[in-house]
Amino acid sequence: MPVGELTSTLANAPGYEIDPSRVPAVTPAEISTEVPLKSSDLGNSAELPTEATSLEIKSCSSSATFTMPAADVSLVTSSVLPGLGSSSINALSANTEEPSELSESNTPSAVGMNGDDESGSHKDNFEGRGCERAALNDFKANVIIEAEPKASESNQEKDLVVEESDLRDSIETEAWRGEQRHVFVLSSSGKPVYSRHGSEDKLVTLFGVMQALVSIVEDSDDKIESIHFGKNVIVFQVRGPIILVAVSKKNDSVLFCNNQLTYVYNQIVSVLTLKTVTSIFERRQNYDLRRLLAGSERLIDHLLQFYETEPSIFMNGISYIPMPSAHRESVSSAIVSACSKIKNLVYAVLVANNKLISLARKRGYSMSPSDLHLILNMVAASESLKTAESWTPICLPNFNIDGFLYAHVSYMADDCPACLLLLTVDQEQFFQLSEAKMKITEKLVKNKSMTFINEVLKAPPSLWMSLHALGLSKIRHFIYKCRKTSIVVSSPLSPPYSTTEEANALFTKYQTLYSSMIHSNPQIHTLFQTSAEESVVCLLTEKYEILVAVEPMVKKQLALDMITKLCQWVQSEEDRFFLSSVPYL
Amino acid sequence: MANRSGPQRPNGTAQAKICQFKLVLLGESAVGKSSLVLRFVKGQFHEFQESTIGAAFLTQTVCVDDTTVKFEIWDTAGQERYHSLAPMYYRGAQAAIVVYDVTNQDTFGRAKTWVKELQRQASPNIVIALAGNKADLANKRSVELEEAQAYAEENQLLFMETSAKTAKNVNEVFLAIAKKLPKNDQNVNPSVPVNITAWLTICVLRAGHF
Ligand SMILES: Nc1nc2c(ncn2[C@@H]2O[C@H](COP(=O)(O)OP(=O)(O)OP(=O)(O)O)[C@@H](O)[C@H]2O)c(=O)[nH]1
Ligand SMILES: [Mg+2]
Repeated sequence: MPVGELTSTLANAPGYEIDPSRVPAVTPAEISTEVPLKSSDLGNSAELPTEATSLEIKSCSSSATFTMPAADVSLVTSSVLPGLGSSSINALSANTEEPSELSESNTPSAVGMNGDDESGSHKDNFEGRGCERAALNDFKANVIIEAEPKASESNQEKDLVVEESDLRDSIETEAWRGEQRHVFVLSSSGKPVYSRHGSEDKLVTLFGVMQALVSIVEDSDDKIESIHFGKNVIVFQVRGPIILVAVSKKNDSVLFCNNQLTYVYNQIVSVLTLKTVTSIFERRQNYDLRRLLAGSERLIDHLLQFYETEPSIFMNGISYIPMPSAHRESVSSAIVSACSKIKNLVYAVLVANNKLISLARKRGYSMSPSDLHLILNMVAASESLKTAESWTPICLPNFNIDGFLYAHVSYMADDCPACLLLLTVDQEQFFQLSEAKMKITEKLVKNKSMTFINEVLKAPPSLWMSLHALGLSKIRHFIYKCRKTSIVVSSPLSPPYSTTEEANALFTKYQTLYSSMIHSNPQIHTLFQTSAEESVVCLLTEKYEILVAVEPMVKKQLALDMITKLCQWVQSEEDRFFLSSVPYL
Repeated sequence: MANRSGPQRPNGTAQAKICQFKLVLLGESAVGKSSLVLRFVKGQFHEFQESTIGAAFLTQTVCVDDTTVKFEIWDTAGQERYHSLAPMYYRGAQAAIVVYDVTNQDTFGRAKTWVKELQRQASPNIVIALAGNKADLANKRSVELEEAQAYAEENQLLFMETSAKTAKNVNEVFLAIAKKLPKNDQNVNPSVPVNITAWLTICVLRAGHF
């Protein structure tokens, strides 16, 4: 049974008793030889025999027991992959302009890309990881000895005692179990903070188990990072007093999950600042963070979906609304001239449809893509911003993780989807910024930019027409990222990718391909994956990265030729997609 | 939609005086602050009103007798994490509406705390109104009208039970405040447009929403 269904084990286990006999049943020797590398099943979704794959987690009143008799479970902790823990986190919150840095610390080879069963070679890989074996030994030993006192010590006794019926009610719902991706956030004492699906209140046992897993591994001076199971993965991130967990049944890479969790973490920090989070838990270890986050679940929900299907976020880059550079410059100059005298104003951002129209910044401050994504997410997830001028504190972790900026947020007009954000460090500046906004509107109306913005947003210049004209109509969708500028250009999602499910399916393919390449060593530069629905191509060059979906049956060489042509076209049109220089305020 | 009782078409020949007041809405999250403002300013109601981020700023103009009153409204967010920001909005406010939800006793308790804080920290002449919102949900009531009324009297607050959903007493609260506010020269809008008629047209247009 795949790990993603661990909950069903939990719910169906008779009586929720600890079954100590099962724990010692696994000898270290068995694990060291049998546990294959985590990615062994990448691209190989063949069903695994039940008993060979079970990672059982049983819960019994205030203790949690884990048995791992399984052959196909692998646990990755930070001592095994020293780079993965902290470095993967850093790499993503800044930018991934040099994703190759990551590749070394992650999976050792481009695994399973062709769907071949490569388990043989994984064993070899695993042999080289003596410390992982050691970690697993510790893990088992600690399960029995440490789990019980830990759980009861932590004031969480009540939370961990869960009626059987509670479990049945919540975890066993088909819909909940059927979800392909889960994200959980909890405090280090095991208090629920967030669950992507279902209500956290009903999942206390599960949260308790996650907390126990983390602390068991921590007790052996190690850090749990991921658990692998067939094509399922559970990824853990411990960030001070906060634990974030992603569960995926979609073949997602650890990197992908980790990046997603980092976004969730940044979103939480963005609402509260790190300083607040830290000091709250310093004062009260079992504080219920939901009190302070109330109302932000919406932002996290939206961010998760955004991360999975919004090209610029997916590629950790920035997208602009395509428009002739002269037009963009006149928009920018209107903004700059209205704002240049305002002290303490750090950024002026004009966005629409999850893309930038213009960005101006104070000299000496750049905007990191992931900070921009938090802004885009807030705008996209908050209908209420359309009804009034808003004034809100927002922490941009890469600007200042411990402090707030104050954002004046307003739409350009009732019927205009362009939203202006003026971000300052001065919380008393609302009226000054409100005035600046009025001036900007006036200027944009006067120099006709407003009309132009409206036109562009209503009828974006069709990329399809251009693709057609170029003879590239067999290209259904693409995402192009310039490595130097992090600028992402993508075609709109239209049939057959217009529904969320279809888009999700395509992006999952992109992601699997992309991560396996980023992880590859030596670097793989081209990957071509065919299926009945489409062929997906991923190309990494020094200058750019591109992901393309083409019609099925298109021959590889033809696809590559088309992509070359497409890239040439994007580069020749750079002016429309790129902001050549970010103006200063 | 119910006819707006308050704002009358300003008499073009009358000597119009224009006053501008800062008004802040305070109260626990989800009691209906944004809904009240949205009803007052745009004549709308959303069953699924989103929780406010930070604070929203809106303006609305009403006419009381021969005076045009322009409200600058701060609709604050009731979520706990924003509480420390509240002084920024009530500082310098001439009026406040403290809102609770008649179906939720806790929110009434929270409203009392807000009233206390305003009495201590806001400007001494601030006009405070207490609004028991969601009066349309009378069958789920948990705060009795008499209880709130007595409390309001004790503390010299304006008091009304309102419903943003049915529009009951929404304009009335704002008008009652407008009436009670001192319309001396101090509050006369310093930046009154030279062209008073243009200003009044705006007033009329806005009132036209209703
Ligand atoms: N039945 C009923 N529902 C109402 C009324 N006023 C508001 N609501 C509903 O109550 C919920 C919360 O309303 P909001 O206006 O967002 O509450 P708020 O006080 O602004 O909340 P925060 O912005 O979080 O502080 C929404 O779903 C509204 O539709 C009312 O008079 N009657
Ligand atoms: Mg609100």
